Amino acid sequence: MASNRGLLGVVVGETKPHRFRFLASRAVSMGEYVTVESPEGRLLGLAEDTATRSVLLDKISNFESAIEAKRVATKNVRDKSYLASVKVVGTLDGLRGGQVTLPSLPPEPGSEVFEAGSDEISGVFDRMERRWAQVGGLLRNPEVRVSVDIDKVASRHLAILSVTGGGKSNLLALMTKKVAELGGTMVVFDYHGEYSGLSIPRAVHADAKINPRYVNSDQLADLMEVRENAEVQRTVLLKAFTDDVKTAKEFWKSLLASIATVGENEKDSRKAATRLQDIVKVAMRRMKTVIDPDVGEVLDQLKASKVNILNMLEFTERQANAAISYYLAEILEDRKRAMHGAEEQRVRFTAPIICAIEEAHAFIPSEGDADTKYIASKVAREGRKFGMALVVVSQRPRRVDQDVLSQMGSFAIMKLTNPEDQAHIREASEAISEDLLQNLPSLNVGEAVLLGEWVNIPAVVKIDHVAEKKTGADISATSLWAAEGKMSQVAVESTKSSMVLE
Amino acid sequence: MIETLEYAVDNRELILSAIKPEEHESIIKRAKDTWVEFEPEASEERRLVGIDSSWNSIPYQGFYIYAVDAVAVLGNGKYLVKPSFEVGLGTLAVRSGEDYFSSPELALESKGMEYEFEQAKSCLGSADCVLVDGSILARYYDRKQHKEGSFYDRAKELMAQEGLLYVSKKSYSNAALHGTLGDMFYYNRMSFDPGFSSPHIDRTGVSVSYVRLARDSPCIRIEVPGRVGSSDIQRIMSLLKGSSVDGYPYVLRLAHESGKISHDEMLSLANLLGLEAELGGRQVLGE
Ligand SMILES: Nc1ncnc2c1ncn2[C@@H]1O[C@H](COP(=O)(O)OP(=O)(O)OP(=O)(O)O)[C@@H](O)[C@H]1O
Ligand SMILES: [Mg+2]
Repeated sequence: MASNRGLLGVVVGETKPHRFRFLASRAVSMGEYVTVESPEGRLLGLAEDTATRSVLLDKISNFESAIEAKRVATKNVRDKSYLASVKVVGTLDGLRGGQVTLPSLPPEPGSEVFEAGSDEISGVFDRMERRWAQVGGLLRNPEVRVSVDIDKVASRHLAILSVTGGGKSNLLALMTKKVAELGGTMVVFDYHGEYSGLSIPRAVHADAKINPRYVNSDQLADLMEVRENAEVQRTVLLKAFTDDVKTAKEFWKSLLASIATVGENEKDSRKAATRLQDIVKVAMRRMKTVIDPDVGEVLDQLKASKVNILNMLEFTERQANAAISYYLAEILEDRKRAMHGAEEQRVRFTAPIICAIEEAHAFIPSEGDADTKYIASKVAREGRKFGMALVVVSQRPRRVDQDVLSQMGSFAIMKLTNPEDQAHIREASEAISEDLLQNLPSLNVGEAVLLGEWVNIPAVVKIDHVAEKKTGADISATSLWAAEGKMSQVAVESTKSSMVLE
Repeated sequence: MIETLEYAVDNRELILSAIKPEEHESIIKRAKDTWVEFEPEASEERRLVGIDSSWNSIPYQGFYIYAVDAVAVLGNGKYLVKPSFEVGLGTLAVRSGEDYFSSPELALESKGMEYEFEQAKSCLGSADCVLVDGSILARYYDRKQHKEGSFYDRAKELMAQEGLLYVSKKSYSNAALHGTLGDMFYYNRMSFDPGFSSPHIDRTGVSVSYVRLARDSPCIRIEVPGRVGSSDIQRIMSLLKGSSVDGYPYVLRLAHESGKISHDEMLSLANLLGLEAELGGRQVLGE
């Protein structure tokens, strides 16, 4: 099945069944797909690393010589060499049939390499079955659409990683859209409140709220921002946070009274109790949007077959941590009940659910113990059995817990510049090669390498832009200042004119 | 080896005295007297061709296998004419008077030169200037001493050709300045500006000039068949200027790269001929 497309290059050097290099007639971009003849039929490969060299300019060490060398070398057709390093992703015939078949024999040096034509590979990346959802186009063949397996996300988790502003939230918004279109259930813990403007069908927006009656005393302490090491205050709260308080009609009043009682009964705790009362009063006043004794149970705030955007803008990091862990634990319990065949009315989510955590480095940190980290590790390990999955989003992959990261079955890796981030990801997944990691800094906003179970083969993709997500774009300080300046100008003018009138 | 190093440490002055610092000043002065400052303007684009040869061999017991290759390369990297080459097997003996002695170096170099001549002759007329790597005079005198073969008739023939230049980066001749070291050494030290030494005419009728094409670049030695004057050298400098890097013509660099025969390539050649089973020279030496 010879191609009539132009010859792109010739295989050189030692070859392996899964990797080869070729010299090309032009510069090759990272992310281009190529085909090569092999003893087992045509193979599809992904250019993971590429280099251009000039024999002459290689040996030049100063400006004057470089100018001279540039002039003479451009006339020499043999001076430039374009070398590309290719990862073999499978036999072309196999991939077209949806099967990844890796060859056992390497392509022979001297084999001809061709550009993969869009018509040849669209069937490889764009699958028709219901569980596949389109997320973008191939970076180097934009007309080839790329779809991802949502079933795999819902069972084996997903990590979305990039530098800040790389396009993570846009991809997450896209995932919510796709899940919504499929009638799936998703929860997004929206720590920055950036999805509040996301207007897609089947999205429900709610302010995250925690009912203090349902949490334990340590969680309540965290929610009220009692310091970690304020042990006496925390002990007082433990004693005061009785079942009577939890069920009292007037929760706060009852809690304050109970704390006062503990203070009166125990001399040593008197100061701490007074201090704790102050904290409770502040919490009542300032945190009523976050801690609400009259709100229903966590599960009542969430809707099945919807994308639930939980706005956490009002939460401090510690509160968010306590809240996310609480939501996750409740959801996991619910899914366990569902899988163990509990009666319908006791189960909220009868079908699998995907939970997305932004700023994962804060809530699932590699160092220290966060409430969320404990439960997220559990979900990462066991979620598959219960139909509960995580989408972990972070701009600091190196600070995300390695255990959780290594449980992620799929990855969307976007622009990443820090070598430590790259090394951390390398440890978490063998799906990504050294060559690809090296090239992550050259990705632009919205460009991603999709790896792992949600794609048949690694795909270098330009992710579709989600116009429905309105917040999150960089703020232009200069234009906003200019606008504000004009406004105050108008204000000054109008005061002036009103003075004249008077 | 170690004893020689020790000796060098102890006798540094003595060894370096061969440079004769006392004559240094006066020779530099002589060099300056013959030097003409001249900044060439790159002439319009000309078709230059660079010719170089290369050879290599592997010793076996009782014979060598060898390869010789000469190429003529244009500035675009393409060959102007088909390369001349030879692959063979033999003792690589050279005649000296009535005697023969084995000298692969001399024998192969001679072959290389014959092929360079062949290449040069076929190029004449198809290029504005044919540049051959090295010095025809050095070869001529070298061969003359050994009275080697048919060489000089060929050399003589080429020495008379127009549109032909010999260019060398290194030269040990002191024919112009009669110093302890080669003329090149003194011309490289007396100035950093572009220019040339007024041509010195060898008794074979070849003109020699040391030339610096660009500021701060090393001198090259140019040999031109026939008796030429300063204006000819200036014309040649302008011809070379536009297609040189670091004061050295690019076509010669290309010719060197294209013709070069590496040891690895010799090994593949031996392999191809089924000679890998024989003991190579290195094994014979126990290396
Ligand atoms: N695929 C895309 N196509 C076009 N624009 C995009 C794409 N992805 C992201 N952008 C734009 O880039 C900007 C940053 O994107 P986004 O907020 O998704 O980045 P982020 O990685 O989540 O950043 P942060 O680390 O700050 O959360 C936004 O203005 C967004 O609209
Ligand atoms: Mg974001």
